[in-house]
Amino acid sequence: MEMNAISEGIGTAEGSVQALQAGVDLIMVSHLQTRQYESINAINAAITSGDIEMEVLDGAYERVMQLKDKYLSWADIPFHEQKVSEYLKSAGVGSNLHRAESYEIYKQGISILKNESHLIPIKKMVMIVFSLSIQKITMQ
Amino acid sequence: MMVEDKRYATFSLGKAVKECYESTEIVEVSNPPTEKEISEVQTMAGEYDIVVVGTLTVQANDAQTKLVNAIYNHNKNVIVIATRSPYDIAYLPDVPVYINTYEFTYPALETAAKAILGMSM
Repeated sequence: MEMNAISEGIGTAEGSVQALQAGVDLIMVSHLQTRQYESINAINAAITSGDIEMEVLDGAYERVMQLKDKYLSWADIPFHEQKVSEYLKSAGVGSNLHRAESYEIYKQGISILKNESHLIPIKKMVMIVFSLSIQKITMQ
Repeated sequence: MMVEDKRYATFSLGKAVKECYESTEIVEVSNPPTEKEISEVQTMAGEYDIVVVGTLTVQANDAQTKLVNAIYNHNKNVIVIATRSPYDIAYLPDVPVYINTYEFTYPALETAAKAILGMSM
C-alpha cells in the first residue's frame, strides 16, 4: 500500500480501508511505521463507524489463517544439508523441478529484439562485460 | 524511497556471463558512469571480440547512452542487455544485438547470458 500510486493518490490509510471494503484479505504496509499506524487507526475508525463490518475483518483473518495452516509449516522447511538435498528432489517450492520450470519461463520471457548478422549465439570469442553498479533503486 | 530488496543492490550480470564463459573480463562502472570511466572503457572495448553492456533504464543523451555509443565507436560487436525498462533500445538504435530481461535478478541475467552463448541449463 506504499507505492506512490497509492500513497500519493488515495493515501495508504484510506487505501487500506477501501481495500478491505473491496474484499482484500491481507494488506501490506511494510515500509514506514507511521503509515502502519495511520492505516490501523483508519481501519479501526472505519469499524467503529460501521463503514467496515467486523465480520468482514474476521472473515479476512480466517482466510489468511487457513492459508497459513495449509502452506506454512516450519517442519517442511529444510534446515540441514541432507534435508536440503532430499528436498531439492521433491516437487516443493524451490526444488530442482521448480528451478527447471523457472528457467523455462525465463527463457520464454526474456526477449531478443535484435540480432543483426546473427552475432549471437557467439562461440569462442573474448568477451568483456560492462555492468552498472547500483547504489540505490528508486521506485516511482 | 527505497522499496526494493537490498540483495538486488549488486549488479551480477558480469558474474552470470563469466559463469557461462570463463574468458570474460568484467568491468563494473558507476551508475551513472563517469566521463573518466567512459573514456577508460572505450579504449578497452577495442581489444575484445564482443562487448556486452548491461543497461538500466536509459534516457535520451544520458551517461549510459554515452557509454554505449563510446563503446560502439570502438567495437561494433556490442550486445546490450536492458535489465529494467524494455525501451532502452529506442535510445540505442545502432547496437546490433539487443536483449530485454525486464528485471535484474540473477536467474534473468543468467538466462540472458546463456542465450548469448547458445547454452541451455
